[in-house]
Amino acid sequence: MSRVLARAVVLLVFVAACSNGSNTSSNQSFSGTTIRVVTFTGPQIAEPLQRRAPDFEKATGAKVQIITVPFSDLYQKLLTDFATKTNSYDATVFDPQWMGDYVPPGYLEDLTDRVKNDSALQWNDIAPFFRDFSATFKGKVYTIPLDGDFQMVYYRKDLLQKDGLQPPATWDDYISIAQHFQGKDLNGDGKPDYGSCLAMKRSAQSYWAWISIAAAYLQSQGTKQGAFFNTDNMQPLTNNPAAAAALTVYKTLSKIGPPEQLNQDVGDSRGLFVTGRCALSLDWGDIGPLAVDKTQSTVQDKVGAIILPGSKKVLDRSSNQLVDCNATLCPYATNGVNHSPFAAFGGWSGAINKAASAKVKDAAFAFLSYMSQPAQSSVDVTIGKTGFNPYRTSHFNNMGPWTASGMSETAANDYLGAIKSSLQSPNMVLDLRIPQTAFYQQTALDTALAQFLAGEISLTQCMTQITNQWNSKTEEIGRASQLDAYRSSLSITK
Amino acid sequence: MRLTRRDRLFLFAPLAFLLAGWLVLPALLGLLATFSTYSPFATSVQFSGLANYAAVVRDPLFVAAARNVAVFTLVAVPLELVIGFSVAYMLRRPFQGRAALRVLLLLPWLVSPIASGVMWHFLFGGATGIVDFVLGWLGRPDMPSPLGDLRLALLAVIAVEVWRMAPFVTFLLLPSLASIPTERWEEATLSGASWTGRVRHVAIPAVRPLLLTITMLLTGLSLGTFDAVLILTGGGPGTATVTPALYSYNRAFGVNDWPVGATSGWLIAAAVLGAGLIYVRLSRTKVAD
Repeated sequence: MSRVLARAVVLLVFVAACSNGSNTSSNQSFSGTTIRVVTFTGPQIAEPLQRRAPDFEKATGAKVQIITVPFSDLYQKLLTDFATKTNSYDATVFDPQWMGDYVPPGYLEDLTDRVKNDSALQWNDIAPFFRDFSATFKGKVYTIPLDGDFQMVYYRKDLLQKDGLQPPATWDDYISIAQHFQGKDLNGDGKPDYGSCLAMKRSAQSYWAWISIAAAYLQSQGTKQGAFFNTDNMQPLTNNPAAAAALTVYKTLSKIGPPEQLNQDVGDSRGLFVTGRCALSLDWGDIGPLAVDKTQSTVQDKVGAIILPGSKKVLDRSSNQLVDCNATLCPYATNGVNHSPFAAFGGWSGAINKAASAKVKDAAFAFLSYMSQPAQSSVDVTIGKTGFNPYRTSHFNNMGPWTASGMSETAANDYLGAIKSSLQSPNMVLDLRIPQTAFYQQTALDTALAQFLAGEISLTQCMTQITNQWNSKTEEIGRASQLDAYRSSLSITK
Repeated sequence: MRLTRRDRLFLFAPLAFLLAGWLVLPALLGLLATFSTYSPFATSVQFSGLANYAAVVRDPLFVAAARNVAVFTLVAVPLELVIGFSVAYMLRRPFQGRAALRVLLLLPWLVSPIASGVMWHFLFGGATGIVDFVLGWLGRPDMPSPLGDLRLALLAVIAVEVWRMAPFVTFLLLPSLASIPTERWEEATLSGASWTGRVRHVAIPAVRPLLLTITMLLTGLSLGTFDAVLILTGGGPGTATVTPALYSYNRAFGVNDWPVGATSGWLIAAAVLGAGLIYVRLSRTKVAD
């Protein structure tokens, strides 16, 4: 009897193995099909695609060409290719913020039915925010998430514990902890170090840091409320007491950190943090794997991560005042603190060119699905050089790849705990995804913030400048169409 | 052998072909774009007259960029000329290893501005830089990077440009200074000319046409300063180091505002053209003299 049982088990294992094999549309079903996938030069993002393409090719017979272009050229190359119907690329792994420019003209393939019918993709394993908002535009799925980008706060666990301090729950806490450590020697080299290290360089990633701060004051009623514009009339939310509070925090932090902070990008702030020179930092998930990298980190097992600090006061949009949180205004608050984790940038995602041939689209979808499936992605998100951060529930539950990557179980729990609490928040802020997002953020917002930090303009002038420039761009493109795009990005259907 | 007009045309034809296809035509298309709403992705293009020019010159950011590049050019070009000339003057007499030194002088110029921008970003860095290292070695406190200081950022960018170009000026001037006959130096010395007199009456007259050409070259390069600034500061802090070329790049490639990007690009071209016209005029004056 036991032999029969053993045979049955072997048979089941064999069947299971065969069904796993079908995750990549086995049987050489795409033999003779070439998929041209364009992404940025990397090495991040391109690396996992290039590394995994041969396995996919072996399993499916498809040929995958990974074409890389500099990040600054990627948006233009894609738009030119789509608009001129050149169609040199069948699929792309791109910044989903560009969906606002690519989806309305019909350049991207609607993937709604494909994701529903692909059991190997395990769509429901992808965190709800990335599934329902980040990958979706006007209720339809256009991308497959490959990366979970959002910002959080990192802190030196050892320092805070030693001084009896709790990790910051609010931005006021963040400032007081930063002030507490500013000028103290934090890494034992005899030199004064910094309370907080942030990226504040112009034409870099700084505006995302300000939005991470502002989000706590601006959005309290869930992702659909939006943090950039009023969803009824497309009026910018950049000239009100909430924006002013966030600007004040941002300016204060510009003075509690390295003296050259105004010229530091994330590369600089990460370098300072992992060499033990900062007590606090605000960043994407990248610091987690960097902090355990023995070749560059001096703070292994000394780093904690938490959801972005929040605020006890939020913007009441009916009165345009900053008011104390209550159950109505802040339904998702924790201990009276409204947290609004910010999916800055949104995470690299895969999409398919609608103009590609049917067979190529099938093959491209199979490849993107293969990259996202837990078997591949749960390993990729633990490798720093991939640039991929966790975005699936299984990425938190399966600790094996994390400990295998060199992270101690405590560090992994800290890091993943922060990501998990951010991902599970129904109040996650979706980054802006409307036509000409680049102008709104990289030009108007970035310039005004840089001028404000440098003291070239006052707080009031800063808010007025951003608001005026955003309004003029909205008028130029069309307020109604921009409102429709903004509401679509937030999946507001009524 | 004297070249005929036909010979000259024949020799010039390959260059003309290359320039027409890869410089003149794109530049003219860019010029047309400045009077329109052209964009590679636009479904229709409309004539917009001088609206793009009005938008650019009214933009406070472009005004700041124009101010910065004026300061940059007025400070950097004379410094590059003075330092370059001074070093060339000191190296004019033959000595062993001069040829090798002359090649070394080219190195900063040969390094791409992007690479030198990355290098100087770290050299200036408060935590990682050579300045900080030297100060620490001397027992002095840390000095923050000037690139993060509103008052010093533009000067730091100018310093990097001078570091890159002054040796190149030396490289270009050295052969002319070295070729001045020894008798002329002796003559000046015997007639009681001071050091400055020898520079004014012997050295400068010998290199004046070349000096004029180099000035023109440096002015043109300064007016189009872009890559080093992009890497060093991104135009910040605030608007302290933004230049018209960076403005043009950001508008065209950052936010796809092609007409405004092309317009600001053509305004830079007009400024370079103005400098070129002054050069031609000065050259002719010299020839007439």
